[in-house]
Amino acid sequence: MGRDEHIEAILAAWYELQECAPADRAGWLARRNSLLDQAIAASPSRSLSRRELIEALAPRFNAYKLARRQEHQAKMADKLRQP
Amino acid sequence: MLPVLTRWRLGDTVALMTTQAATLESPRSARAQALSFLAEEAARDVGAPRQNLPFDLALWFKTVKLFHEFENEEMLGQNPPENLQRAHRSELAKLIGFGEFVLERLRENDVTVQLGVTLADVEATLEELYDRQRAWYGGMTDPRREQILDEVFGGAR
Repeated sequence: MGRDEHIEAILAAWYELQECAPADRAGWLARRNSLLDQAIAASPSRSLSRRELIEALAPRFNAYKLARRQEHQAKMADKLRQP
Repeated sequence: MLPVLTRWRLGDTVALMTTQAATLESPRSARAQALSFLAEEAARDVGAPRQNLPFDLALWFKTVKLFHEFENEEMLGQNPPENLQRAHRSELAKLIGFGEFVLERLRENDVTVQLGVTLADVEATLEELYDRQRAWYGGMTDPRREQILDEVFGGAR
């Protein structure tokens, strides 16, 4: 997995963790945390904590969430326009 | 911590969220109406013996969901006013507090199966709220943020 893909995968898993049904939370948390741990392990900053990386990624995550919401709203608008 | 938490009532949080939502939003939104409904439900629980653990858990999950929607609608993609940030931060802390309280009781009496979830799902929801608190209010400076992202992801950003 490339670096951009890795960031995208983290953000996607984080998004699913927030949006999923309660019964799926443990699974998505494990997935997101595993991706964060892999990123930290592959970097020179191995002493970095998961939450530090989460905080560093937070603005990107908010932008990602906004883009996903806008995408969803555009799809819904298209559906409504269909005869 | 426990004596403080046992005095805490979810109705207080929901009522506060409802008041804030009603104050901040005009006209009254569907979200504010939903919070009002939850406040009425929670009010029945206030002062009653706290033995209905499945109800508390379900109400907590529901309030987490409403909080998430509130955050998405009011906090994302804009610079939220200070009063909104204070309300968001305060409610997040209360959700975490009540989540800890519910989780503590679930560890003694695991009734999660009644809601089709596991204790791990409850723990994951709580951990995600702590992450959210850190993400919004951790206080990391932009230079430090850049440094971490450069170190972990290099030029890929």
